[in-house]
Amino acid sequence: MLRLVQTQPPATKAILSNADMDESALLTAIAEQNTAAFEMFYKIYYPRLYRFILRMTQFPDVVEELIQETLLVIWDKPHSFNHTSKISTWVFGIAYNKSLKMMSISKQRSFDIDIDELNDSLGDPLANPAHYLENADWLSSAMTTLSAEQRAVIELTFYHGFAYQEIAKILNCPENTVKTRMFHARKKLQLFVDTEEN
Amino acid sequence: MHPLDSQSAAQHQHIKLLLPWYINQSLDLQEQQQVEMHLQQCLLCSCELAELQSLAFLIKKSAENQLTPTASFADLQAKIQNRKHAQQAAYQTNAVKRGKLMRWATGFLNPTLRRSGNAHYWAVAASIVVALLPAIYFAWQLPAINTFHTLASNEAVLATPNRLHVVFTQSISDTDIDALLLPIHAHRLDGPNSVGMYTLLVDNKDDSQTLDKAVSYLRNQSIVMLAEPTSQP
Repeated sequence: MLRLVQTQPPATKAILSNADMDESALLTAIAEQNTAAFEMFYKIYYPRLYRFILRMTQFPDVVEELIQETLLVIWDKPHSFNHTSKISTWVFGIAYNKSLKMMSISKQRSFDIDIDELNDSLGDPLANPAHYLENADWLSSAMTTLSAEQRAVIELTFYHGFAYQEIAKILNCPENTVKTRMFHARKKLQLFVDTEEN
Repeated sequence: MHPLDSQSAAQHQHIKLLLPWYINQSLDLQEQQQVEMHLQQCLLCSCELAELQSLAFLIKKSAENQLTPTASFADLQAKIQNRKHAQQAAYQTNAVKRGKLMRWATGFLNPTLRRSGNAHYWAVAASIVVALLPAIYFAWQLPAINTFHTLASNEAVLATPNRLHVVFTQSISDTDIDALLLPIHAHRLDGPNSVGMYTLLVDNKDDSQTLDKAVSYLRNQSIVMLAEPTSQP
């Protein structure tokens, strides 16, 4: 099916925190099966979840389905939000779990490889920086070398602006695990940052 | 200055791990100040910060082409509608099955058939009774359920001042219940009954707003299945 396509600007913390919609009020209305409120909620979260799920799973074909599955939970079980975290933390947690489940079913999860293996597969970026600068998708290539959990931490931190405590809730893991995942992930990606700077 | 000359390795490592969240400005004030103080004297962390900022910039600037939410939402709405229709169809199918069962039972117990002295009829009837005996026995053994009226009835009822009915989703200790009730100044009056319902007394001095707040508070607890003021019989 042919659909309109648009490019979304990157979400920033300011934009997210200045949203006109009161998510809590929307969720209350959703609990009363208010379709208009659900549509607003859907449109608020769609771009954020699209980006997050795509970056985490690396499977464009399943993104739409996973967004719908995630937001269907909000529609079906709005009362399951326990008010111990932000609504966005809850929503991203559902999306993360559904994405992981899908990845385990399809058995296509990417595996960690070390830097040497990365160099072998992509060549030495410093040897031919022009080649890498021409390749607009090199960051995406670098991201594929990370585990899904590491990609999630990177995305939730730098793109979505979550605190590490919130990420720990989304990923359902200790806070220290979030920090160490970030540490290992950024070591791999650093190589590509250096390439960009050169 | 080398960081390990002035600070412990553990502190240096701790700050190093916090840098990504210093960049996205999500650290609390205390951690933020710790990082800022450390950055003033640690060249390694300052370099690390610069590299992380480059990475953050690259990740932020990478945009995605995506389908419009409008079309996606329309798809989901259609799925919800289809699901509703499927549930209704399933209910109707079950209704037809129930009707068939009733007709069969009615036909089976037809007096004409019974009077015929049909051996097959009596054999089947006896086997059904034998099969149902355990269920009848256990049903007989079940404790009687204490019924209680709620405000969800069609008839208009008045709330009893200061009292609430609460049912929890799971078994919960008295200590945990008391801890849960502490913020709303309530305590257990009675319960649990055979269906797990507690009656609570709220020390609200006939203040209906306090009672409403208590109900609202309880309904927001994940372990509470039902919370509402008691009705006057």
